Amino acid sequence: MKVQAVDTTKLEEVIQGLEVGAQLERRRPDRVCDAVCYELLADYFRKAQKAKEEGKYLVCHTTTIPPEVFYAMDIVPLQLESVGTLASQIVQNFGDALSAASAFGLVPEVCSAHRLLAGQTILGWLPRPDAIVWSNQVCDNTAKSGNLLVELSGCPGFFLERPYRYTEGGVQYFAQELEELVHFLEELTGRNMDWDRLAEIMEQSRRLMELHREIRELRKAVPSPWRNLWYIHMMGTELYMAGTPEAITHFETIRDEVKKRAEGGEGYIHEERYRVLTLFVPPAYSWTLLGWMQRKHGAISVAEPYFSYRDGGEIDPTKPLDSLARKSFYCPICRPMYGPAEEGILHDTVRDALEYKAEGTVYFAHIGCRQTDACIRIIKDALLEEAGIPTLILDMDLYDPTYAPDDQLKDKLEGFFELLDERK
Amino acid sequence: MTDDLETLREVREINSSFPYTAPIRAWKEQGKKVIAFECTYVPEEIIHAAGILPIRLTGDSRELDLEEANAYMYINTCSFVRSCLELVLRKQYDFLDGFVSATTCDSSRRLTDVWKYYKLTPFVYILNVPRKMTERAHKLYREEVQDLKQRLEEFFDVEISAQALRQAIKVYNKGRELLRELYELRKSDTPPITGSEVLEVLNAGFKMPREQFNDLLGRLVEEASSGQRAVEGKFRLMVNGSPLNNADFIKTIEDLGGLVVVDELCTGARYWWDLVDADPEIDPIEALSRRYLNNFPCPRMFPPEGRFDQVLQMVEDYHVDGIVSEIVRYCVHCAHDQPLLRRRLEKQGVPVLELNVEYGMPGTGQIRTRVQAFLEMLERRTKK
Repeated sequence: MKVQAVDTTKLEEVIQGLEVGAQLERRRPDRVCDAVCYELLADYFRKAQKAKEEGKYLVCHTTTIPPEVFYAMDIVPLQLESVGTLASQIVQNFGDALSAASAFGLVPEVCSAHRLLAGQTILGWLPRPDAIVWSNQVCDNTAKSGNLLVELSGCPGFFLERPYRYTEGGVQYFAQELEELVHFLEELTGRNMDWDRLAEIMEQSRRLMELHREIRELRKAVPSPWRNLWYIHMMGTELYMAGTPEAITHFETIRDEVKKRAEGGEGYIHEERYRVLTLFVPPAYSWTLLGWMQRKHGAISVAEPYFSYRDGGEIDPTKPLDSLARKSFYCPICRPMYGPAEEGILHDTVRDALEYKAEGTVYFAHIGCRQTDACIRIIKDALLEEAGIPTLILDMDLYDPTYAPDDQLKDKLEGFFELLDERK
Repeated sequence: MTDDLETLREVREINSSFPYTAPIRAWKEQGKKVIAFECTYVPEEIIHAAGILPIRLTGDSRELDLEEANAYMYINTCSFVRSCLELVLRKQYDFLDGFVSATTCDSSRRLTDVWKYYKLTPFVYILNVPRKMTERAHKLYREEVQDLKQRLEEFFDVEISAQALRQAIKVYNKGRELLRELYELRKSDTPPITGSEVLEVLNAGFKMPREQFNDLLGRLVEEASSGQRAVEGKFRLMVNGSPLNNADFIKTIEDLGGLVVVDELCTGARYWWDLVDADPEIDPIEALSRRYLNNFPCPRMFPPEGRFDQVLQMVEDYHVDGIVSEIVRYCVHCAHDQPLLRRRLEKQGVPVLELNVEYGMPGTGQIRTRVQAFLEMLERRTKK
């Protein structure tokens, strides 16, 4: 399979789409948080696009690799799934990337997120990285796709392995893996890690986690001061920009908005009708579904257990690698996806349902995600038994709109809201 | 080909009462415990040394209606794991006292979550298995194996002594040596046993005490070595990919003229390939953890070249003309490796037939047609 020459036109389309979105949202006082998010993202992708011409190293990585390490070494990171996610909303013919992956030999049972990564690389949509870093922190797809990306890109790669259980031995193992990653990057760039700089970055990462937890507390207010879409925005910022001042600015903007409304007893929408838990994420091509739920039906996503900081230690900037290792066991996505369900996602979901007074759960079942989907039944049963609430399963594919069109998802949601009405 | 090997009748007799085979039944009648393990990265010797019978959890050797399992695990969980769960939910594994799995894939991890939540057996344990094979990974895995030993001791109130572990290593190594002898016979131009028969033998071995299996294997190897039987086939094939227990799948290939001379399956060669170091100077837990982590790699392991190189070596050693890759849908590790492995094999001039299947599927219909076309293609290549 011949990998095509790099042409970042598609990435440029993503950046311009974000810039236009940011301008539009800036005009609306209730959408400042959204505007900040889009501006940050546009800037993030622009840096990746321009990295080579500015003489910087570009490292592409898969989700949940701690970006703090790259920032501390003045390396430009690019989280690969982020491009696919936004491209699916903005770019014309993004399906070509799925076709390219298929032609290469990736079967449809491979998560579409990872088929997109391969397809984008084959089609040359992304700047050629100096290295690729990937890990097992989410699922088998994340653990495996790096091999193929490295071969396609012809660059060096590093596989970061995290143990399954959060034990002292596990933390030690992962901290050593991170240390090895640092050596790999030092060799790649010919520069040594600036440990003082990493400590500063870890302090910002600690602050980001603190803000995340503060926002979670404020969201307990009734009526809810929350706009459903913000959890996805926060997730992106956390995954791509943890450790940067920009990320803190984004979270502070949301915190201020939520706090103002919570203190004033004002909900984000006029009439709050349903308080729901959201499990996993809606299809990337249809994030507007979250706004539709809120605007049209008064359905508030009160908590999202796959994306939350729950139990876990504090970050100690003086022990950066140890802190990063610990954080990787309890941070959003990582803990619920790769770890035992009993003390992880199952426990957190039931607790969130009770603490946030949820009346129902909307579970986005991405056909490519074996980790989250295999938990559906146990979570559904536990929620019914321990919190007394029903769960709606929405079958979909994160990136393929033909699998479950928007209208079909809306029909199912409307049926569910009727059920919640009957239960009132 | 001449008549069946006599020992194969015994094998078929054992498999006929799957999964609660006569040897397991006899074991249970003595008031002894049985634990199912679900993955080749679980060191059976630890369970054996506890005086408990380890058996491999598998689905049936045929495609099942997965109605009950589908209600508990989403359809994108591979059908191997859903088939196992189906049988458990149908109470066919009711004789189990425990379950030990490994963190080797998403399906295995989540099966364990489901198993724990619904308390399907009194004892449940999941072993964390690193993907790397470095010294650091070995240390972590060794601690896990040690922890499994301790949990078994506590839960079943038994002591797993170093002596019992050494004895278990000896017994299991004997089985591995006999399997190697059996596989060596398959290198012959006209081997005395078919690929489907070997899979039947392995299936029986998963569901009986190892000492009995060794006895059976010893007799089988002796019988097969006698030179009385010669199996012919037009092309020498390897079957590789996801877990496979349906011997009929291989039989279809062989009935069409292919001779399966070797496999790269976790229900086949990958299961038994390497020996445990039996040096009395080495701590048995150390020896076991080294062997299990460094054994013939599953597609999950990193770097993938370890597996690829061994497959290429097997192709050479067994004079393989072509490969049939059977990949169970949603077996993501195999699916990711396949394009990379295929390129390496084709570079060596070895054609590959890729079949996306459901676990337990027989080799009928579309599969039969595709195998036929593959064999015709091999034939054309030979003529050129």
